[in-house]
Order: sequence, then structure tokens, then C-alpha cells
Amino acid sequence: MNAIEMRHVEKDYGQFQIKDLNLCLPSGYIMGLIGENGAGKSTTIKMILDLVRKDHGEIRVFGEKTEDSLASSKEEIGIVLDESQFPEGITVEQVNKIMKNIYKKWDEEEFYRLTDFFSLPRKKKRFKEFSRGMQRKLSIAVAMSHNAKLLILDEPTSGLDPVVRDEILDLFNDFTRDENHSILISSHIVGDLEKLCDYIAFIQKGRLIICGEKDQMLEAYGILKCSEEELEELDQQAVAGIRDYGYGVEALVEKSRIPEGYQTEVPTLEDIIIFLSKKERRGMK
Amino acid sequence: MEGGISLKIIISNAKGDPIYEQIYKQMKDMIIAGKLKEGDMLPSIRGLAKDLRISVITTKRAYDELEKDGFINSVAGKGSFVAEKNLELIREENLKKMESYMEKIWELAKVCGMSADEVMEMFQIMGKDVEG
Amino acid sequence: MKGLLLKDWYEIRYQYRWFLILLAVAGFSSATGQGNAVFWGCYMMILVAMIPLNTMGYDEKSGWQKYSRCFPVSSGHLVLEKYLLGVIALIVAVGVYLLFSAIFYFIPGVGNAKEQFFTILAAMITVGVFPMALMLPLNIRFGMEKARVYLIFFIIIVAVAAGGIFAGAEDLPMIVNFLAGINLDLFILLLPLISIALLAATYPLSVWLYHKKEW
Repeated sequence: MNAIEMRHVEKDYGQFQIKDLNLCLPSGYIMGLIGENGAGKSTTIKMILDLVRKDHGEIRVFGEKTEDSLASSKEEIGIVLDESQFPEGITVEQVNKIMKNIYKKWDEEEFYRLTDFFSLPRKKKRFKEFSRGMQRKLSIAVAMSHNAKLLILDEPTSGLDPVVRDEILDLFNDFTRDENHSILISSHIVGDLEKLCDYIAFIQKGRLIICGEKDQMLEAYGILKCSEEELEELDQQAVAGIRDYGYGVEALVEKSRIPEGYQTEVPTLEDIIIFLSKKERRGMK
Repeated sequence: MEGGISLKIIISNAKGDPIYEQIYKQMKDMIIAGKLKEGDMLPSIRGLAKDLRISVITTKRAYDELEKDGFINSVAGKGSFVAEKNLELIREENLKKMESYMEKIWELAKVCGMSADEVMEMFQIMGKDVEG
Repeated sequence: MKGLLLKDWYEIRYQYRWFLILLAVAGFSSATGQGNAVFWGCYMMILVAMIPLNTMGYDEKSGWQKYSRCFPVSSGHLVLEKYLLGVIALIVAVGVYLLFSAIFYFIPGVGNAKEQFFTILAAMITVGVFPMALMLPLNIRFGMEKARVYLIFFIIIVAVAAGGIFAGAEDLPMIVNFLAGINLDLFILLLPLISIALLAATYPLSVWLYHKKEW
């Protein structure tokens, strides 16, 4: 069963539109949603959570259509949104007491284990006195303390320093040791997602530029450094993006489509995203 | 549940080798060298992926290849185990290795301008040294 | 819903401590039988009516409203919690009034006369419930900022009307004529009931508005 399925989803905000979005997250895997701010990542997540109504298309979570699903199906979904989630005056202890009465499978022990791990004070300190990083950590702790099967995370690591980010990504990695657990995580920090994800979906200006298995992408593409003339000779379909670098050009190419003998470098996920977005920008001029 | 022995697998991102190939090679070498014995239970696909911080899809691919080539067996619900030592397979492996070394020797010979006979002579002298 | 109520309770304790004190003072004053008892009674109820509305405003600002939409709680319950909060607050306020009235009953010279007691009670309930009934759906539909403008407008109207009808009706010929054909006592009794009915009626509207809302 797929954790999330999106078919031909569209949303029109006038200036900004999401067109024909097709996405599928099989159960047990992690999908990273990559894109710059304003590309449509948050809107996509909001449509999955039914915070925003889609204009067309179908979205299913655990097989149920989002408009049909009962509130109870939200028991299984752990959420971290990109904005603050809690009232100013709340303490960690109070959050526990509140959530205990909201989620049926709330695990108080796990919650305190996580808040202790994050060094969040339980009493006295109010939410507004927390740093942005601490606020995020609290949201993450809540999302992971009610035996959820699916985590939907909108920029969960933004504003956090690299050490903490790494620790949190480890937590997410461990979450999917259980094959029934899945994660949809959005970020504009590609490096974070490179190690963690099984699937990558890259959104730009409301369109899905690429969506597939991360490792396969890294194997399929290569960075070719050559002269402009040499580039012209290649099958243009193979070229996914170009960057001038003074001494020649740097191009992202599909290795299978270029002749043997060309030396290519291994790209990072960030390279792939940057080159692809350049191609789109040029294509859209 | 986690099971199996902990393996020393090292993934390098720098080289061009796809990750699943790196896992495949390292596991295969361990099996051939006897470091992994018949019947040994391998780490679960998921567990290995999470421990190495790589995608589950990739470890699955490596395991599928290993099974296809007869090095391991997967039992649904139980896990993956090292297959019976297939002497044929090992011999084939070693022959492949010899072939690739021979290719390299030919390339070098061309660079040095040596003929096949000269190379054979070198080889035979070496053989005496090795045996002697 | 218990979780949601708990959260509002914590928030009220944190944000509105002065509010609760003011409530106690108002409750005290409304039971003393002085001339401005009606004013205090109504003022108290308006404070009370604002409790669910203010918590909604804070929910909006803090991002909790968006977050709670993702909880395994139906729209119906999410909205019901606010109504319940309002009703509980009203009951507590009325309770304070009754408590002080009971105390003052035993002190000669202080306390409301019997008729005034019921009049004030009816006025209080009306003034408490009516704005809540109107403002809850408005708040949901337009958000705290815009709805607040309507609220201020409304408070002025209600204060004038309440003062006019219950304290000095004889002085306003228009209202006297209007009331001439109506049994005043019955009217006084009916108004709070009408308000309560209105509150119940706006609940489904509020749920519908809330469900339609996008974030």
C-alpha cells in the first residue's frame, strides 16, 4: 500500500499554479521534496493534509481519499509545519498533558525521552522563550511521540545548526527501520536529504521537474566538463543543464545518452538539482 | 528484527561506482574469501541500509543481485543467508579476475612495445620464482 | 476535546490572569444592588463572551489553529470546544454572580431586590450569549482582526440597548411604544432563551465555515 498517492493534482492561486502533480510514496520509504522557497513544496504538503483544497486531481493517504478520510486517520500522521505551532505561554509539560488527550496512542515516555534528548526544559520555560531551534525540536518530538506511521515534515531542520540537523536526520533515519513507517520531508537544504532519502521529488514553480529513486538519479547523471563545441556535438536530449565556468562549459548529462569515452564526474544531488533548475529557467525564458 | 553478523562495509561516494555495486562487490568478496560462511545470516536489507545511511532500495538491489548470482538465499519472513559454497561460482569468479588482469597486462605490454612471446617469457620466469 | 480545553485553560491562565480578577470584581459589583449593578453585570458578561473569541485570536496568531486542523479531531469538535469554552465561562460568571448575591442576601441593605436580581440575570445571559453567538462564526470566517471591528461596534450597540431596555425604558418613547404591546416580564425572560437558541443555531454554521476554511 502506498503511504501517499497524488494524481494529476492541480491548484490555481492566480499568480502561482501547481500543474499536473503526480507523486507516489510507497510505504516504508522516505521521500524528499526539494525546491526553493515558493516553489510549491508547502502547498503540496498542505494539500496532502487537507489544509488547502486542490482544484483537480486525487490525493490518497494510506489508500483513503483526503476528502473522505475521517479525522481519526490523522492519528497515524505526525506533522511538523513550517510555522510555529504552539501558543506562547505553553510549557513542555503542558504540551504533554494536552497531547495525551488528543492522540489515542500518545506515548508520554517517548515524548519525554525525545525532549530530554533535545535538552528541552520541562517546566517553567515558556514556548516564546524557546529559540527557534528549540521550538522546532518540540514540534518534532510531538510528531514522533504518538506512534504515527507517516511523518509529514515541512522544513523540519530549517534554522538548526549542522550538528543538531544531523542528529535529527538520524532520528528520521531510525524511524524508518520499521518497514511500516514512511516519511515525506521537504527542505531547501539538499545536502540534508541526500543521505536520508530513498526518493527525491524536485518542484519548481509548481511543476514537478523530476521524481524518482535518488540513487538511480545519481548513477544516471554525470558532470561533463568540455568546450562549447564539444557540447554542441552531443545529443541535446542528453544534456540536462549547463553552466559556464570560464574555461569551458560544465554540463549535466545523462550518461546513457552520450558516447563512450567521455569522462564524467559523479554529481552530488545538489549538483543535479542546480543544473536541472538552470535548464528549466532557460527553457522558460 | 535485526539479525545477522555486523559487516564491515565501506561506501565511498567519491568514486564512480554505484553504491549497490560497492555493496555487492564487498559482500561477494567476503563470501568468496570465506569470511562469510555458508548459512550465516546477513543483516536485514532495511537494517543494513539504515546503519550505512543509504537507501533501502539500493541495499535491496545489491541483495537481489547477490541472490541472482547464487551467493545468497532469501527466505521470506526470515532473512537472507549465505548460500552453499558453490565451487563453480568461485572458480568462475577467479577466472574473471584473471581475465581482467590479463587485459591490463596486454595494455601495458603495448605501451612498452613488448610482444606476446616476450610477455609469456616474463610470465614463465615469474612462475618459477613463485613456485620456487 | 479535553486536550483542546486544557490548552485554552493554560493559555487563559497565562494571558488573562488580570481578566479573571476583573471578572471576580465585576461579579461582586453586580450583586451589590447599587445603581450600576446592571452595568457591572453586563460588563462582566462581555468580558466572558470575549474569552473564546480571544483564545481563537491567539490560536490564529500562534499557528495553533492550522496545527490543530491536522489533529485527529473533527471540525465539529474543534469548533464545539470553543462553544463549550464560552458556555463554561458563562456558567462560571453566572455562578460568581449567584455566589455574591447569595452572600449579600444575608446582609441587610446590600444586595439586589428580587426583581432586579432576575432582570440582571436575564440581561447578563443575553449580553453574554448574544455576542458569542454572532462573533464565533464571524471570527471563523473573517479572522480575529476584522471580526474585532465588528465586535467593538457590537459592544456599543449592546451596551446601549441593554442599558436602554432594562434600566430606563420609560425614558425612550420609541422603545416604550415598541414594548407597549409586549408583556415586559415575559420578554425579559425570553431574551436569554432566544440568545441561547441563537447560539445553538450558529454552531452548525460555524462548523461549516470552519470546514471550508483554507490555510
